[in-house]
Amino acid sequence: MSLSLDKDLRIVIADPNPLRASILRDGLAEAGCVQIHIVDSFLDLERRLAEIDADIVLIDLENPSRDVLEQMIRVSGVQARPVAMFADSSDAAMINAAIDAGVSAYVVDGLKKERVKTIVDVSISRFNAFARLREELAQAQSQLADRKAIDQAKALVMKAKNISEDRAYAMMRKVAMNEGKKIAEIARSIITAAELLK
Amino acid sequence: MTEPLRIGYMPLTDAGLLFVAAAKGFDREEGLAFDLTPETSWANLRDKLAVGVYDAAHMLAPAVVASTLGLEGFMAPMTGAAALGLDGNAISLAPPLAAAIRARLTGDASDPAATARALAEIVAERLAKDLPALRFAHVFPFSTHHYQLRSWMRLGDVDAQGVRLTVTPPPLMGESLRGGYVSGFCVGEPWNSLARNAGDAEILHPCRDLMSDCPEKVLAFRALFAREDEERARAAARAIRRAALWGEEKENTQEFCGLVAEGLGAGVTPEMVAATLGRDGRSRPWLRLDAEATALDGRQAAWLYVLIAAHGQAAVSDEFFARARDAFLRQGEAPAPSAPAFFDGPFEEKNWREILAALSTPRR
Repeated sequence: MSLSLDKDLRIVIADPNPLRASILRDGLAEAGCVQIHIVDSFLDLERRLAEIDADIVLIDLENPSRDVLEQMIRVSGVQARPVAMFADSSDAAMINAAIDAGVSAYVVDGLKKERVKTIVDVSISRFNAFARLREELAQAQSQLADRKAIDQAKALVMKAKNISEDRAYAMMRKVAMNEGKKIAEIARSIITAAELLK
Repeated sequence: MTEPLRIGYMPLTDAGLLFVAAAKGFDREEGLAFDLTPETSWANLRDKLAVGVYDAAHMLAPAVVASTLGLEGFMAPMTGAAALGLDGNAISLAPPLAAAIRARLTGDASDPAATARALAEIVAERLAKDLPALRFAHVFPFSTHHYQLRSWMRLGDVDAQGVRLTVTPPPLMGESLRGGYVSGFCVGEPWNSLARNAGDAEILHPCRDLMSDCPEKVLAFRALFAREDEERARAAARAIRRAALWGEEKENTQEFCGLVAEGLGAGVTPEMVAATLGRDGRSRPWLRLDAEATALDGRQAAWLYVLIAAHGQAAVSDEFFARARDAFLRQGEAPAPSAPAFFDGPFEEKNWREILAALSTPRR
């Protein structure tokens, strides 16, 4: 690791998740960072990082390779510190925000504080954006799965009772309301029962 | 009424007493409810303990001493309240390097000095041929693994120019050997056994052959927490000691090893745990999880300071020596750590400078 001019700041995003890495890269590029490297393989992390000669390494708080960085900052000869514990720990709000977002940053000492803060702030907001995105995706997937189950159960009821689609749906909804359950749960019970009775 | 105690741990065999204490209710009998969360790195455990995500953490014993001395680069002092075990690491090598060492061995294969001398020859030849340094992995800058690896090499006066030490997360150790990224490593269980069972590694020496009764992990609290709520820290320590006492009863061996294996999951069997603990009636113990091994005292912290300073990570000073002793709450009489390969008998505090010199200077 070495010091460099602000505009030449070499930033490494160490992340096995390509989507999150690209979201973070775009955010940093918008903030004016030019030299951004993404490292997605961790078997030979130390050598890769040494080759890039990074000023800042951004890494998921939960990545096991954080301990590799702990070692690197100790033998690099340059005073560097994990930003999870950060910048003279005066900014408790930033530390908590970073831990909540799940990002940590290893920063070469001597970099301008405001510059580091900008980069860490961008990382926090992009990590949060990614988490929201993942949540939305999970939600969309579960809605899709619910709809499929309801359609399948509706077909089973129609066939068993020889009734129309609307009637079948109305029946399922009524049961759901009476039992205080979601219609998708009722649908899954119908599917399970139908399989048992096959 | 029990008070919850949030504890982070690394999935290692020496987190076992935490699993047993929680499963058998020793925590509740001490008025606590252990809430255990597995973690991914020592850095993460340290940071989450520091900011209060956890009340306590399964922590590398030297890292606790280093934090007390302010060696981590920021002030987040921790206090050890109980030892979670003594020893437990082993040095494992890639099969080709293990074979090369055997081929040159003069002496007993179980003697770390003999294998280290063979390694020294191999390293000297590689240097003469301008081959790249051999890489060895440990787990954290402030870890017994780091000091044990270097102590082993020092026994054979291995040329430091010809080896490079690096950190690798334990779950990646086997793959790193297989891929040729490292030639050997020092790690705790179950990772040596798992790498050996996968055919990636040969276990060369349990580190107990190198230095014995060395504090390995401790249950650490924020120093402030341990001061202000010392009774809670001591209650947690008692729960751990009771788990160890229960495990010492012969009729509980099977259940004890089963609970530890269950806590670890992923391919770890009760038989593997029993072998590591020397409770299978065949193996020599590598790891001590008995009740005596849960005691903590200032002498152990002093010994860890000597290891830290001998490896250039702290200044050598009476002041540091005295401060290091405060890193652990005293819990009974702990066994005396020793490094018989470097000096005779157990570690005695009055001789610390002499012992430090023996650890940090070449032997010939």
